[in-house]
Amino acid sequence: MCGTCGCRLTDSTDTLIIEVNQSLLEANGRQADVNRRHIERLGAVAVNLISGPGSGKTTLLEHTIDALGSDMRIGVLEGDIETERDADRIRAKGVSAIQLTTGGACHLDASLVHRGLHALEHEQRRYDLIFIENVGNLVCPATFYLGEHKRVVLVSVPEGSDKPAKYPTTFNRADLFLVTKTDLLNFFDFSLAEASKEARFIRPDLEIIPLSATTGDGFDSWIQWLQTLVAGR
Amino acid sequence: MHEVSLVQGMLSQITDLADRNQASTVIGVTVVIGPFSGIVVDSFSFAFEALKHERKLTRNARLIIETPAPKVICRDCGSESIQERTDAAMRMYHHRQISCIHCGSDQYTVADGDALILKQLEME
Repeated sequence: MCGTCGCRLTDSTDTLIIEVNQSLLEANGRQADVNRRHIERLGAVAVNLISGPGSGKTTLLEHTIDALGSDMRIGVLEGDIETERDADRIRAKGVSAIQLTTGGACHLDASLVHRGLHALEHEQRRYDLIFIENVGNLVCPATFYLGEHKRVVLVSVPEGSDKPAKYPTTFNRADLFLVTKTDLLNFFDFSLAEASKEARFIRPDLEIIPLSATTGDGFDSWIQWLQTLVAGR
Repeated sequence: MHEVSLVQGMLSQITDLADRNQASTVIGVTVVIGPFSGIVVDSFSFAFEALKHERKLTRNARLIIETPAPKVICRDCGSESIQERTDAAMRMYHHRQISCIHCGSDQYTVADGDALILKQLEME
């Protein structure tokens, strides 16, 4: 083939070299961009919640719905490897929830979220705020943009204040860091100062809110953050 | 992490590009893997060598992996430097012994560390 354009108008045995420069995550990125437009067409902003298993994402959502559910149209996409338990908990609050069960994959990707958005739309035409609760995993979700407007990372007090240092990629790509279960500070060696310092080293403009969903401590700041986000659409 | 599904995705991208250029054989694939992309180079190679046999198009393709040294940008004075040895950069990044050669600050960000790019294809 021709070494310049790859045509076969020649007997040349030249090879064709093409510069590609495409991300290997391009397919996911393109679908995520589509998801973003879909979310906006539904009238909403979307928040991707990322944390290790058991940090309190679903409990945070239950209390958030209690605080905001009557002022805002909320929808939730729940990501888990197995079970519908989290979606059931959200539905019990009277909010539309779609369970995305990966069956093995350790993170949500844009194509699963795409299906979830259509299912949410089927339940209700318009939303103000869509939460995407990712699979409990502090590593892999960071790599996969889903189409969200903001990324929130949670670390609970029992997990330890060294987590931002140990998971730099996840914290580097976060917009808000929630320290959850602050009602347990007296029982664990968790240093808010260390967690903040480590997190801000990786991402200097990271907002940090310590809170307890169960006692309500610090919760107002989280609600205000959400209200500001929704108001700014 | 996810090297196999990334290689599968890349082989699809390669197939499309080969079709568009009417190529019948892929000779070389050049990939850039940044040190903070979260991808393990050995696992990526292993996955490629295994999966390339699924298509006649890629069966004999040679994989070239570039692992560029990351750019370190000082947050105080803004000057950039390239860390010559990737291992050294990673150790410095994680243990934070690095300091800016111009102003001595220990506050820096790393740029281009998370690249994961199909750079070039050689086909016929």
